[in-house]
Amino acid sequence: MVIDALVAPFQVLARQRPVITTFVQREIRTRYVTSALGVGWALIRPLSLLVLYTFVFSYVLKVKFGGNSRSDFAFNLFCGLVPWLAFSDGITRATTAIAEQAPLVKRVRFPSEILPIHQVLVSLALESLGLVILLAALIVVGRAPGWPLLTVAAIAIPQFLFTAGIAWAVGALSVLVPDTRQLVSFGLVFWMYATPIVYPLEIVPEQFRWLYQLNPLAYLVGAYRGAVLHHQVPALVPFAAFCATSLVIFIAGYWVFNRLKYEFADVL
Amino acid sequence: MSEPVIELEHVSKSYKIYRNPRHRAVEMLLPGAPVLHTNFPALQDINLRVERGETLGVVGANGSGKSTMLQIVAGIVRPTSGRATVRGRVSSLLELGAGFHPELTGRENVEMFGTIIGVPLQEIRRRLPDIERFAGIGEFITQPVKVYSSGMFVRLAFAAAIHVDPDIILVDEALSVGDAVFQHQCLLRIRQMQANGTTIVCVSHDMGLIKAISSSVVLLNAGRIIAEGEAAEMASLYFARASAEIAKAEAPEGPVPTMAPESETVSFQTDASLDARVRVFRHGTGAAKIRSIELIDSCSRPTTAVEFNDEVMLRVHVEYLADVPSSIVGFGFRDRNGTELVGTNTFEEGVTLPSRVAGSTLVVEFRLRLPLIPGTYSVSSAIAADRYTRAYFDWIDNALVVTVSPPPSGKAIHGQVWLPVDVSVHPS
Repeated sequence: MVIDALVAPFQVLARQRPVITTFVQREIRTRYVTSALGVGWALIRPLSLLVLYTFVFSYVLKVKFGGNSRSDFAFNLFCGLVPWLAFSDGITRATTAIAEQAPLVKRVRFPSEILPIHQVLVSLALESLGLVILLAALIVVGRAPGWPLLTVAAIAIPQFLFTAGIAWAVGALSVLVPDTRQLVSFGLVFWMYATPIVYPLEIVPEQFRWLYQLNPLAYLVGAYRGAVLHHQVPALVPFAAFCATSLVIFIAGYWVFNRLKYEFADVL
Repeated sequence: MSEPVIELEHVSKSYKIYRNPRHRAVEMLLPGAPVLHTNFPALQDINLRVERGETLGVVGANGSGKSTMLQIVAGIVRPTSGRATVRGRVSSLLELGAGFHPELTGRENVEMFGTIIGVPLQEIRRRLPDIERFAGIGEFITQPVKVYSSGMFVRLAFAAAIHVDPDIILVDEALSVGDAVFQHQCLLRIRQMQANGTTIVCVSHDMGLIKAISSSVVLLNAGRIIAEGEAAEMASLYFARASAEIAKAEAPEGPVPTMAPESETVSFQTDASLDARVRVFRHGTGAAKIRSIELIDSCSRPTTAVEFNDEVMLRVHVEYLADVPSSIVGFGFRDRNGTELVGTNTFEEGVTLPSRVAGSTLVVEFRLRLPLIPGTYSVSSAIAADRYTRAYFDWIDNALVVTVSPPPSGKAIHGQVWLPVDVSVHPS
């Protein structure tokens, strides 16, 4: 029984791969098909946030990342923003993913598990666009990342598991308790500022540092910066801890989803 | 004996009804919270076995639990108690085009649909020409479905749903979509699938369809199976119950006006509830008013439910509010689509009505048979000065709703109306 619970979420991914693939493709196509700028929108949002935060935190509030240059701030900020947006977009979309497909959930024998998941994957796919822009900019200024960049691919796996687990839980809860959506959008604002994205971890007072140790997103952002900006391969122990956390969240999220999914048809 | 394809054992389903949506959250999240919901039993102790290749018809009034039962068989809703076992690939036509995306083309949506119900993409692609031919929407298949007419949309959705080689197909009124040609096409396809051993569960209010395709029928009422058996028998039972319901609903509040049985002198009567009932279906100059319309069965009892080809009498009570030298009274029976199937008037039948003064009354009786295909019919009646005038004194639609049940002999009725036929055979 315990083993079942542990492998079930992976089985879902394996068994529903065709449906997930179709839904991811469809989501990417339809999300931008009617807008004039198309997929360009996927870039406009992180880039405009980059400009906004750079102005507020670097020009106005004089936050500094290691070096003094504005470009250093911008690179560090964007390198944190990319994984953060992938995470928060995935979670936000997951809260409406099931309600949006109400006819499917109510009227067809349909694996509703994949609905939050496909939104998470779409967000990750669009994140990679942001990463490409970042790399291009780094190459232009002569700070081309070395081979440790490849470890981003390894980091992305637990990142997906972590996001998916939370997406499952909040996705299911938002169907049954609509307040979840408000709570999530509100909670994500908190979470963003509790993660060293617009400021470096080093300027956080010592007595609060332990809190950051408990925040998987703080680790994620740090690992991205290490691999992309500082030619660092993630250290084994923290990476293993992140993987373990992600795995637990992934399995627990699926467990929550699975317990609640039979109520969907009653509520929608 | 092989395993049944669908097996429901003591299946019950009750929905939790919350007065306030907040209560659901409280109950879910606070352990030990008081019970804040009331249970609405949608299905109670359903036992059912459907063998491979069988076609089960499910009939019952609205709210009797038919759709919930299909949802349970489809695996969408989990029973509150009991066990539901379904063996095979289910294609449900509970909502046609569920999951179709307006921005995607017809073809993409069909591929999508196949993926959703678990058909490999290659297989769907292989069936695409068949699906396109069946849907008959031509070049539109490459257009986004948002530009489709509603008819095209359901035709494509239906075509997709029946071409994925399901083991079990669930139909909820879906066969009543599309135009006549398409409906015939659907029925043919259903027969083909039956021949190939597909199991079908069909929910419909269309008893003609139920009888045409079902091998057995269950009748649901208030969440329970109250009868099961052969299609024609269940259809009669359904009609009998339906007309009993209609009679109950139409019964006037006060004391029921009693008929003088077998009286030679038929007395004029006014049905107090008629005016309110037909208000929107009524027009006329008001020189005369129809005050009551009754359908009398062969035992001289007023009724709204008759059997196929029963002899009945339609009695129209008229009150004249002005001096009227000549008038004609007529009636018509319309089917659910509003087509008048039978109708005539006193003039056409060669009966001249006497001249009447204001305040006088008249009762006109039409004796006839109703050899109509089983179903419900609405009765219209009118009074006018003569057959040429367009100015009716009074015209009432929907004065009565009459249910015609199938012939007890089990004879099938082809067409809307049966006419007496002599058959002779001359072997050479």
